[in-house]
Amino acid sequence: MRINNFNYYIKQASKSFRQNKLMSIASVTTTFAALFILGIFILLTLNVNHWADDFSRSCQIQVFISDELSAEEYDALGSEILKLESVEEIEKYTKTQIFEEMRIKLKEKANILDGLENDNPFRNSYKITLSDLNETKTVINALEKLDGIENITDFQESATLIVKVVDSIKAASLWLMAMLLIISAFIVSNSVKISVYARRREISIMKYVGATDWFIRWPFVIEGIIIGIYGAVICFLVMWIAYFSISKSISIPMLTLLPFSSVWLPLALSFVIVGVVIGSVGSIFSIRKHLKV
Amino acid sequence: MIIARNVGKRYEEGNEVLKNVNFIIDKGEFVFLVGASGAGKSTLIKMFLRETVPSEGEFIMNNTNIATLKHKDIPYFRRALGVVFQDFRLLEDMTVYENVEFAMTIVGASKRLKRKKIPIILNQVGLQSRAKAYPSQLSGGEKQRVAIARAIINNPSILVADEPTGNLDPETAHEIMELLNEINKKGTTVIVATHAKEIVDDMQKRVIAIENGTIVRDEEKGVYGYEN
Repeated sequence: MRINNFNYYIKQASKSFRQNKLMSIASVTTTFAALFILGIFILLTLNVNHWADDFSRSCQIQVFISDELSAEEYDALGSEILKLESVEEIEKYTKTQIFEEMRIKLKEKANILDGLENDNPFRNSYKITLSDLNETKTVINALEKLDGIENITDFQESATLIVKVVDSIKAASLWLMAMLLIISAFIVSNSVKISVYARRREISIMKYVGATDWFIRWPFVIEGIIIGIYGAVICFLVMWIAYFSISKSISIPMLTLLPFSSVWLPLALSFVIVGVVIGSVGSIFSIRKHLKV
Repeated sequence: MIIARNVGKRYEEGNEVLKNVNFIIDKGEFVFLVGASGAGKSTLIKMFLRETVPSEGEFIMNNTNIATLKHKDIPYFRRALGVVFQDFRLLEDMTVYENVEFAMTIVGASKRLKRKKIPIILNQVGLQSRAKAYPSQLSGGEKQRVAIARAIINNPSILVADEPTGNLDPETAHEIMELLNEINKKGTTVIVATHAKEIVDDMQKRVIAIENGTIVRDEEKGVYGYEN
């Protein structure tokens, strides 16, 4: 793009945007609608990932260790577990901790534990967090091969279910986003087509005077980008307000929404990128036919 | 120089609009293209503008064979041409000055060059006092002068005018032709397709006459040769 001509492109694009006011507003609105649905899916995906992450933390595997192991052997076993693939972290959970927690949980009935301090019936254990819930079964198989483990408790069924749900939501979101992008580009393309039609005479004069294809294309591409950016900015503001009110009104434990401060950046970036891409791609398609003079 | 060697044009539907057309137009010549409607004049004009290419033969302009010209090179080829149409083809929302400036913007001219050159050209076509007027405020003759100013602002070596006086009264038509003649005297090759008998007869320039897609007459200091 020649810098000499940049002002001309911007001037022409804004003029055309203003002259076709009604169509520009319609395009901004449809872009807004497409981005809004895109935004819902981005926010949903981010939050579902966040919930899945929380859930995977609560889906820890707990292994109970044989009493025959010395304190050193208990530690060594911990190191071995940590070496297993897909094990993110382990937490030592001793029988003394379990005994004390049980005493707190039992409250007034805690006296049934009296006298057992020196003959603790619980077992030393490790709580294991996985980096990937899909690998629960593999990790359990590996744990079963280790010496000194008496018992393993897990949430394999719930883990499998949540993995399936998260994966389906992600796949559906991707497909929907792809479809929306195409639809939005098509809508913007139609809108720019009207501008192109209105300026077909000018385009043909440009061609005769020796304008290159890109010289003719740039104002329309910029017009498409302006439409995309307007749609993106309005959509971002609306989503901000909506997200803020929804996160304030939702009070389901375990299902708290991520704060807006941690979702605004991916949301804004996606909106601007997608807005600019659909605006420019739509314009390029709409002007192609008119460049064949 | 423009060379047409055995040029033929056949459209996909099968109708042959040009047959075995041969001519050479030297640099700085003034040539009238005459012939009845549908004789093939428009197709020939389209070749000058590289809007169409021959199906047979060679059409060479400024050492470029138009048939082998790549799409991306067409704009640069056209910058050596100036074009004037019967219907002026001005941009209605731009002033006289802006219409001319537009042609300079397209070729990437600097602001300084525009400020220097546009007043000179407007003066040459006699529109220096109308620079701020819009096309709707101009007479037919004035509109055609703007179109000529736009056509010559980038110093083309060839000026192609398709029925430039078709929408003008005889007096104005003569003025426009005189302007084209002056441009020709400065070295620009001028090719005018026209039906204006009186003008062709008066100006005593080279005349190429086309009938049914074939050149039937090519005369120095020729006449129109048809009854209007």
